[in-house]
Amino acid sequence: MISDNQTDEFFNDRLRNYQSPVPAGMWDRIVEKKKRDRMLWLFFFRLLAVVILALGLTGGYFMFSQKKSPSTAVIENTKMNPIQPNVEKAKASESNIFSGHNKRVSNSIKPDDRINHQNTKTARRNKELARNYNVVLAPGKVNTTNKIDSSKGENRSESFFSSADSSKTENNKGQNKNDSLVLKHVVNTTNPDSQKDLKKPETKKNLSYRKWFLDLYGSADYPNVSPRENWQSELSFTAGIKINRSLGKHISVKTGIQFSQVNIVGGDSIFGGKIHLMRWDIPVLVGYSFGDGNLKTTFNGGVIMNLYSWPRRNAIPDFIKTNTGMSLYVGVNFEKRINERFSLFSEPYYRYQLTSMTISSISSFKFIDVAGINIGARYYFKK
Amino acid sequence: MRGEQHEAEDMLQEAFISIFSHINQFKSAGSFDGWLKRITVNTALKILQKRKIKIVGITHVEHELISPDLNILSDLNAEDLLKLISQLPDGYRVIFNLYAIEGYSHDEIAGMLKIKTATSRSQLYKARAILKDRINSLQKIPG
Repeated sequence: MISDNQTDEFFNDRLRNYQSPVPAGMWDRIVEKKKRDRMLWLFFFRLLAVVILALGLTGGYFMFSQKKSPSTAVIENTKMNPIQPNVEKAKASESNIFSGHNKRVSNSIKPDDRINHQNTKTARRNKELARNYNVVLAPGKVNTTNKIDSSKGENRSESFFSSADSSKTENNKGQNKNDSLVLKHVVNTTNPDSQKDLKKPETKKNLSYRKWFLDLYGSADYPNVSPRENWQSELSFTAGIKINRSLGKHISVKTGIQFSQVNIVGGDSIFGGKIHLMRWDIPVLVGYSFGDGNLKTTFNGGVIMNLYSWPRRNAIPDFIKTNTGMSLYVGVNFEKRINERFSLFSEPYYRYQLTSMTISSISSFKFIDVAGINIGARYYFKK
Repeated sequence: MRGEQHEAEDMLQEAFISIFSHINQFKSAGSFDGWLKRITVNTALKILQKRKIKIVGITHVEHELISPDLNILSDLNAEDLLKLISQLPDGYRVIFNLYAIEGYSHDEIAGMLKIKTATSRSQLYKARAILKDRINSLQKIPG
């Protein structure tokens, strides 16, 4: 009869040092599996880089195509004047204001005058909108028959109101089916059919100052190995995404995630060859911006914290740390606004490695700094 | 058995890959054998967890089994013992291996498998009972 402990000890004695032969082909399978895994990761990262690049290019294309499109937008805004029967009065009032001939002869406010006053306000607002939109009237649509002013020989060519039947507006009866206020907003003159909602455009100041914006970027990098010894740098790349938050007119903070592949070649017979160092990083940056809404320059600086690094190379053991620590980042961002929501940017930068990237006892280099130029697209979120 | 052999090879392969991938994390202060063992065991447990083996506490323990004679045990070689262990249900087998062969304590096992210490104890008890039962039945077979 044996106790529980004796049973355990018996099994332990017999099996603790038990050895069985390693199956044939195990080593080959391991090498193959590692290679396959790396290829899979590499494919994933390349796909990610291509997607980011494609998104940036597509966004850029649409932004440019929207801006340069020769289409014409004739915008009719029938909501601008809520008192349609009196629109011509408004035009008359507006015309009077511009021509300096206010026809009011009495200081007492009559109901009709009140409406007139309201219409004058509407007319002013419309004029302001038209100015903001840089309105050009379509040929043949220009209202050059402002009866009050024209009767005085002071026809105003800058008027942007037009009526389908201007001859009837003189009667001011508000009964003409075509006398609704129509703001013909002609941006270009080649396609008079396209219509868009009228919105007040943002000023340049507003364009340059939104709280949240997103950057998608990719860069061509040139690594700098230190100590250099016989290592040589090869073209490398980075791709990433950053979310930005403005903290006032000039200051912004930004963070995100980026993937880099750093390519170097050289070393010695043991720890040498071609190394492709892959790394996932989190940038934490602060920017100071100046410039207008159209063209902006930002000085960015901060740290880049490594999440995970691994080398793609055949030789083992790996001597590069899985977490390569922290880098300092400085860059100058030049941003060109494309439209209300999008801009393109370019950012030359330098990433200075602060902590050793390798296991010091067995490696011949410790740091890899990187210089590069980010090219990317920026998307401004709604306020 | 062939499926188990294949699974064991997969585990070994994964363990080697894990070892090579994390070799730079090995601190030379510790035992290299211990580090290897730890990685191998963790890899095996990970694979088992993927298979979603259930290790549940046993509330009712059957009657005490008669322990086999020590002479009978000494007649069994390593392959026989492995065969006996491999016939145990997953949960029992894992805990018996970790406790009796790898030498982990119940607290360590509970931590590794995210189970209660009492569950580890009860599973081991049950595993022993089954093994003793099987060995006794071997005893009854002549020759």
